[in-house]
Amino acid sequence: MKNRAWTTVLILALGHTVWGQELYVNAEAASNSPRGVFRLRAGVMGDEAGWAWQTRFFYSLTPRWMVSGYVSGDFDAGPGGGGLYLKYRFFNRDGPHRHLRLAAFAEGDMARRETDFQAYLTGIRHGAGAGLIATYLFDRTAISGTAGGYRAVSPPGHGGLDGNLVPFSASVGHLVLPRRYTSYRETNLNLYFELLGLGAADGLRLEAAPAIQLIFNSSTKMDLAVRLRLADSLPGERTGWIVQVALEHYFFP
Amino acid sequence: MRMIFTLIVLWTAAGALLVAAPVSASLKVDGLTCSLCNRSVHVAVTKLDFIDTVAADLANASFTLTFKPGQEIRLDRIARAVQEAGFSVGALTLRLQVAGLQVEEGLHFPIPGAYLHFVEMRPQTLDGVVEVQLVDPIFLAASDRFRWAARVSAECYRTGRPAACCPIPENGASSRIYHVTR
Repeated sequence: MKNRAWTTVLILALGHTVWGQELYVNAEAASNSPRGVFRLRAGVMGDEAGWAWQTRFFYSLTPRWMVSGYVSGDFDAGPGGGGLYLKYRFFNRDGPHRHLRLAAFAEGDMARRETDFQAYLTGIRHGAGAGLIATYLFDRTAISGTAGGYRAVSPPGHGGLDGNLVPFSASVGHLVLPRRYTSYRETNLNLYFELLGLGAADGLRLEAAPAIQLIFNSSTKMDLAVRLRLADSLPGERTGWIVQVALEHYFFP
Repeated sequence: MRMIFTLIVLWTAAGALLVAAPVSASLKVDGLTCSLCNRSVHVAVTKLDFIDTVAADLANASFTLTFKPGQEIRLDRIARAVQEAGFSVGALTLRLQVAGLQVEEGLHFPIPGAYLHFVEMRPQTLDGVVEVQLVDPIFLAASDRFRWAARVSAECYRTGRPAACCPIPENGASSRIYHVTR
């Protein structure tokens, strides 16, 4: 039972592994994909409890509006939950090889299983939330911050957390290769470091999440990431590390 | 001798008819930093029906666009395509094939589907392939828009449509007016 609960945590953590044009592995950037671009992401996530799967789509209705949805499951118990995410980019300032973007988002999630603090921190949720994102990109480096509020409610028939939460993140990404673009076929190598947190009335959890990302043919990317516990004063037990592997493809209109 | 004279006359007349045909454009895009972003813009402008070819300079976030001969060239749609890809036009430079084009401040010159309004121009004669830069706000980086808004006082600069300052025929009353300089 405990293993299943942790597997569920991993499933929905992966469900929130999203990226914008800043390509973060664990946080959503303020940018949106181009209008009409459909992105499909599939991945697995694991720790000592086992492996889970997740598929997620992203679709940009306009350059300002983007919608995303996901379905997650584990290899033993099948689908375990899903959700929708809507983002509105309300500020954009572009310059040569740089931009500043601000966005607001709202999300709603449903879980078919019991939830807890770790689940909410990493993505398994039952409730709704909203927040703000600020992303600044200059030359080969991008920094981004996200803060919001989330109203968690117990999944009907399963139980779990019920209260107000404050998820937040700070992310840095750097383009390592190529040193100079000459072709769309060049493989890109990006390095990331993210701090992921969850505040609640009875504690705080903080994680460090380094990642490597490869982009092939300017249309397919692969993420390899690990999430490591830095501090945790929330009630209950949680895993100390999570490994993530994901593949995502752009379908241009 | 008479034939040579006739050929010279025909060649001159043909040159006069072909003045200011846009052949290509150089598009600089702001906000681009990765090949995925570049490709998004590339795909968006390639789909425009008056664009013939698109060549990308990835390192400099710029694109060279060639136009299909005889097609109406709607430059606004280039800017809109860039915006819908999630970015902004930093600069748009138009290359014109001209033959003895006399330009001066305020000249309005027709291109397929629109007029070019020359601003901040000293009188000169243009020959061959010449470059002109679009200075309408939609084709400028944010940092340049205020500067050009202060420098161009023509009423049509604000609307992009013919105004009292535009000496163009009545049948061009609804034409798009693009403002260019060198």
